[in-house]
Amino acid sequence: MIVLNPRLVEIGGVSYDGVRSVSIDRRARRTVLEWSDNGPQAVMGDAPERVVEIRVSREVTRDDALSLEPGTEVEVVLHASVTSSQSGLRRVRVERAMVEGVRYQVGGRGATQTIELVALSSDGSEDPVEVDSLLSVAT
Amino acid sequence: MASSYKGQNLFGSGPHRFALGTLGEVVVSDLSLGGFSSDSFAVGPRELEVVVTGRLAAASEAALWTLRDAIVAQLVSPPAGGTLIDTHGRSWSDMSFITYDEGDRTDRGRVWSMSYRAVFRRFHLSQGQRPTE
Repeated sequence: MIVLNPRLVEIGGVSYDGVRSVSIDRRARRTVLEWSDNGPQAVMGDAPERVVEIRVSREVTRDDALSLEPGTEVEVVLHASVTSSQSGLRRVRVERAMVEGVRYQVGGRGATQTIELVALSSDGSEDPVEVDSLLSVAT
Repeated sequence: MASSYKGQNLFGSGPHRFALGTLGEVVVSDLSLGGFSSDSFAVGPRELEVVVTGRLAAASEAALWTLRDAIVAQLVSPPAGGTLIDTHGRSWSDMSFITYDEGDRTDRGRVWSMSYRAVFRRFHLSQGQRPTE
């Protein structure tokens, strides 16, 4: 999932401006592949260990003292518009996410900040990313 | 075709493969017999071993335990021989199920699965009976 120019991004209760995109990548951290005695092709595949990675990319145009430390657990909330109107507003919420790192790429008149997080499930089986139904009013 | 041991399809829930264990002669060093030389002695042919490696797969935690329990139930002491048949119909008679090793974790992805290694042996002597001098 990728959200371009989200209306609102909150990390750990703090609202962030200048966010250009939020990407939510799902990857297998470990896969299972098995072959049989019947031939060369894999016959079973599974992804028993998965990770949901969140990357928040934002423009930074002034000094920025960020308090996000690697290992910190935070809530991430973003409001994304499916269409340009307010009617297609969705809320994406990750109740628990671990800050993996904060990186800066400096160039031109400003810098791009990338906040990297890993979403954490409440019990190991629940999807850590909640996408709410359409919001009726803009926030 | 499905593989089987004593007529039971123990491994068919997931992919599995058959291989022979080490064949040849059992060789014992003189040192292990109390001697003090580098000599060794061939004492006889190894017992036939067939190794099955694979992965059990089920739709739930409970269903996977049912598969695991069915395999463990075949580990009897003293071991009792039965016919082992692979997925191509090759069969080995009088095979005793002697060890069952599982992987280090249950994998819970799309399905519940567990890797394993099961070893079957054809003993030269019937079990429960010690060799006599």
